[in-house]
Amino acid sequence: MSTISRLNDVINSVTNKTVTITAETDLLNEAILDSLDAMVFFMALEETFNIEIPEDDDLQEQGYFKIQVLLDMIEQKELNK
Amino acid sequence: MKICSHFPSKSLSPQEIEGLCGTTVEFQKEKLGFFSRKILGEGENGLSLAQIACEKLFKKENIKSESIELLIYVTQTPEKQIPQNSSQLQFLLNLPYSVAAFDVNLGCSGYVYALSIAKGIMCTENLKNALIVTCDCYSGIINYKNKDTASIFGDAATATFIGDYGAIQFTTFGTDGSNSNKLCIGDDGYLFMDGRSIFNFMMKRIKPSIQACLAKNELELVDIDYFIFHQANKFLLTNLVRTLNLPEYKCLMHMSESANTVSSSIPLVIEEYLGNSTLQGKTVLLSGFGVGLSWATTIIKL
Repeated sequence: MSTISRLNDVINSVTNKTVTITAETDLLNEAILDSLDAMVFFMALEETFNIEIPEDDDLQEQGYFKIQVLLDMIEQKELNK
Repeated sequence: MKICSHFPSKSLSPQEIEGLCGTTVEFQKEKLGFFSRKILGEGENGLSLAQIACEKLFKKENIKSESIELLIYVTQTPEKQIPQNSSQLQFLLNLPYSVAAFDVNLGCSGYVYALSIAKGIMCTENLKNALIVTCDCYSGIINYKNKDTASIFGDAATATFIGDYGAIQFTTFGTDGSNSNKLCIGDDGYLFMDGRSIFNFMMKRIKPSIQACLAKNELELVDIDYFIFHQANKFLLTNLVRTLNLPEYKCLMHMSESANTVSSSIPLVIEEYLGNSTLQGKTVLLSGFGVGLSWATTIIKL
């Protein structure tokens, strides 16, 4: 399963909705996640991909709601293994 | 254990909250589970709420004020830094001069702590009657233009009479001061809350706290009839219950009209479900968590 498909599964599970994301999707601007779902999403993201998103980071400022940013981060993690 | 509560006179509706900070009515109702909240009105303060809650309790349960030997007042929003609210309440309620009275400066874990403290003092000093008061009035420290906090909190007071400390079982505690800045009064004088950090804290700490408490009391999860968690909001509790893999019917909630009332949230649920006899004769696990960061879990047999 591709990384983006796994990401899509996490989003669907958290939001209890069926959405289709692309690399261009912005989860916040497209209202796929609200502020509460985002908490669960980032926790699930960390568990699923074994990555860490620092709590002190401004999620929006760092671009963590953009799928491309998340894909790059996960890919980097895989490369560093 | 007997409980009475009192709320301030002023209501703040979801529509008013939306107008103030932009958090939609739908979000407040559907996600947070809050349909209203009460905040201090003209001429009211935390002490007056606490006094009325106690007077209601005394009247309803026919408790004589002179019989109270221990008064524990849980609050992080006292009327003054000095003196403590408990001594003022002793005067207002005409409690005897011999009463042991003090404040506990804890938030959402405060009620569980107070139960343990009450049990400890009653046991060692051979006391028969204790009164635990909770009252936090966050309306005075909330910037209602701040989306992170404006829709979450409400004001309330509760009074709990403890006549048999044997109902209170062993308690487990926890503290993580390294994250104390995630829920605190900011430099602007208003409450600051980092929602994601608090959510992560809750998801990480509460399950081990419950497991430790069960082990300390030599009980299993199935021995617990009901669970009452600090009523942070519906979203957080739903996720916590899911993580703990608990049956939803065992997790009691009662916050739709009061919102998150900090130290009063757990006794408000107990009052509600004692009132309709749900909790009579039951074994109930209580877990409070929040400001500090601080958490505590105990078991009571009602």
